Amino acid sequence: MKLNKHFTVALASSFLTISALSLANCGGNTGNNGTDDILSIDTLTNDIEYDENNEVIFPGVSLDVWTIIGDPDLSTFKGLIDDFNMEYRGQIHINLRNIGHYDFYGSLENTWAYEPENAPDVLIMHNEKTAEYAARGYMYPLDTLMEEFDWNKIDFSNVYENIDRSQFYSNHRFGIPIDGHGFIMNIRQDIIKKNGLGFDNNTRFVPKTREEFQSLLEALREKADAGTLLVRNITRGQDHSWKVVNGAEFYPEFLQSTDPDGLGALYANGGSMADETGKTITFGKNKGFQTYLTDQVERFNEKLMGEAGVNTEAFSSGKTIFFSEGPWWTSLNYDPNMNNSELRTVGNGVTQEEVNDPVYAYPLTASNTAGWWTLEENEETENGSKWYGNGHAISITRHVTSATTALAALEFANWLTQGTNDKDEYYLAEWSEAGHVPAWKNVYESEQYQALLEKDLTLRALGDPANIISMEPLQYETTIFNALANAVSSVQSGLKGGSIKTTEQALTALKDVVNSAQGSLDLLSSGIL
Amino acid sequence: MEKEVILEEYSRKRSKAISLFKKYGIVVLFLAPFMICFILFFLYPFFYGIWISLTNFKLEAPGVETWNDFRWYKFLFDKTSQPLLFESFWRAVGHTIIFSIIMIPLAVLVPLFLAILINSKPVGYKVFRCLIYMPSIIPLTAAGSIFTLLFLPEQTSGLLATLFPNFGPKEWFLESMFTFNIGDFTVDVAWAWIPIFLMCFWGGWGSNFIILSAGLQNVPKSLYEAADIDGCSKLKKTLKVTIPGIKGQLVLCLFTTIIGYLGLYGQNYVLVTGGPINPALSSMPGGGKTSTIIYFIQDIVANNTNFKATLYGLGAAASIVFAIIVGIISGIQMYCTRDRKTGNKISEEFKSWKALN
Repeated sequence: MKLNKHFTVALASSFLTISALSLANCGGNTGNNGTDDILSIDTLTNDIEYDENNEVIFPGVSLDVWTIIGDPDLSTFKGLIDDFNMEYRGQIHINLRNIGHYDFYGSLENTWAYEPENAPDVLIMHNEKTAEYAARGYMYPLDTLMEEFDWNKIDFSNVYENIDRSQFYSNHRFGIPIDGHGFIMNIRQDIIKKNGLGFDNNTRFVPKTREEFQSLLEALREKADAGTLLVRNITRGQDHSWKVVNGAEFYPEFLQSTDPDGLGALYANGGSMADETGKTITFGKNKGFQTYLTDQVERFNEKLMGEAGVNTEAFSSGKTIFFSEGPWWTSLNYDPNMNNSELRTVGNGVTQEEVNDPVYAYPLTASNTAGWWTLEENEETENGSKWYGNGHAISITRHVTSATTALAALEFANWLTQGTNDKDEYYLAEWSEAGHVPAWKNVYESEQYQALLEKDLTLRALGDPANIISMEPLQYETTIFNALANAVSSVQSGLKGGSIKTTEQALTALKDVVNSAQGSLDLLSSGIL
Repeated sequence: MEKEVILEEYSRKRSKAISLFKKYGIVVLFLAPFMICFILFFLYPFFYGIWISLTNFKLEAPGVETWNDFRWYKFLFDKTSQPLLFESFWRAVGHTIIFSIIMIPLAVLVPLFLAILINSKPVGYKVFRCLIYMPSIIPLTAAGSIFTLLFLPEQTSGLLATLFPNFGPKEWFLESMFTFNIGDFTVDVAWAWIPIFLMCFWGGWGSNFIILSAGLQNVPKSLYEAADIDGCSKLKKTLKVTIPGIKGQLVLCLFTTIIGYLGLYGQNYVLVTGGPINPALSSMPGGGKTSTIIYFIQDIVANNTNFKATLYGLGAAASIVFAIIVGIISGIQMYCTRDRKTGNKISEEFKSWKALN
């Protein structure tokens, strides 16, 4: 059937009308672009009512909270949310939605752009992302908000400054830190002790400086090559007797996870990711970061470091001594597979002396890497004994348009970070048990937390939050952070693939990555019109 | 009288409406499901994409765009405005086209060869037919896992490296096969292309094979009988009867294969996420050693939140350029494989043959 002219015209007109209407109506969130918009709280309506004690009345406020916290910590966090909802029943109710790490930011951006009505009120995400989303206008400046509505329940002097620094953008606070955490180094202390390689007369098995770490790696290599290094397999059900390791299969450590230690090396040596504008890359010039990369080349060439990425089996069988992982690794892998009663029972290669010695009975020790990447000339500097860790933080989004709702979100933030139960125990300390250090001095110094430290290896490994340094606030955090990770992985993949054999080649790769990242930042800057 | 006129008019209008409905209503009814989907999921995004590529679209604020004087297109075509981006984009284009040039002939000819073999119905041909098609039903991610396991290095239990320790590079996904220069560009050909190529080849031959096999079933037997009478060899029968007989299916396979491999993304994503890293372009969209045009676009609109927020228009512009490239290549292919009218060529050839005899 042939369509006549009128029909075709009608069809085309309908299409164009639909297209035009769709294009005209596709606008979602109108967003914020300029600095004034980012700092404004004009979109909040003052609907606050006070009771006779001058306390804000929360008339059944519902808060949609999105969190990046996932398993295994999520169950602890959900328990806390249940406690909050119970305590504030009839006043504030939290609707918690957790989204996995890889989907969180994409979901947030898409919802913000195309379904603004379903955007969250509160975000609990990793602290290094705060500045990026603040710059994009997702969040309210909390200091302005608190001042405007005369809300001053939180004493921010209790927050560790090095963790807090990531929460500021344009000299305004956009987030409230909850905790700090980072990658920790797992160490086979039993092997170090057995071979007499510990420090302080073989009583300390965790290096404190770059030199100590290097000397321990070299000593382990030397003994392994000489055929005198004794190791044992601690995997449940295996023979736990000491045997000489096959030097060809032994590596004192494996390639570090790409970015956290590199960031640690950068910050411990006084470096920064970018300059104050956030638009010029500076990490490539930092000698500490450069040395972190060249150390990897040298350690790789001298077989102090192996190339495989999956180290659990090597670690349990004693073919490696150092193994860097997230704090969750202990509960997920070490406890079920290696931390077993066989090591605390005579037999199957285990002697009475070993049973009595906690270093052998509990062969894992763990530590943060504070000082491990610090150059000798920077050891006495302010950041010389610090290490990089991120953490979680709370922000209030511009989806909130009621001042009462905003204050309800602040009330929740205060409850989570500073609140106590009827036994005067901090909720934040309870949260810390999931493998995080509190970002708050009063919580860290509390008897409750110090008691937790006594019994929890992971928390001891994470150590004092005063030594954790979080990322500086960056508008283009994703791009700059990816560049740093690319620098590390370029060198590591070059070592594996054979294209990098010398320290000069590693530094050339770093230079190339930095040039590329700078080009990328220039491109982003040029994209803003 | 007046009533009669009104009735007559009503009847005329009604019959006109019915006739119009009969004439166009059915067409609309049948076309509607397709047209709605076509408009919503193709035409609208297409025109919206063009619009985005010409404006300062921002993900946070769709609907408030302003005209940007072809800025994104200048970035893609003017080397001086964003040199690294220019290099990254055209490298990705180069990767895509070179890969397609190598892949497409094989992706059509091997299934054709297999289809012809199966069509000769050797013993167990049904089993072979099934085995040949089987890779096509394996999901991309599962196939990716298989090929990753095959090509991993020996210490992480790579099957190939374990079975043949001295074959190929130690790190298929990291090492460079060779490098050469084209002007200022150093082209670094990664070994990773081999697993990508094999995965594409293995996973893709089944669909072309099944289309060509179906076509072979429909080549008239009488033509083969005539060829036999004329004393044609097997090769000649294949070239003069079989292949012309499945020309429609071959054109279809060629068309879909060209479009498919120009849009290469999944295989290099699941195997090497666009890598290995090319340090000099590592922070640019599509800067990896196996990045393709779609990878370039995906890096902007999905893989980097800063790019997504600020450079969405650049992604749209690259998409439009990609669409034009695909359109041109497909157009050339359609032109080359069009049905040609023979005119009086056959009758003249017949006359000259008859004259000779």
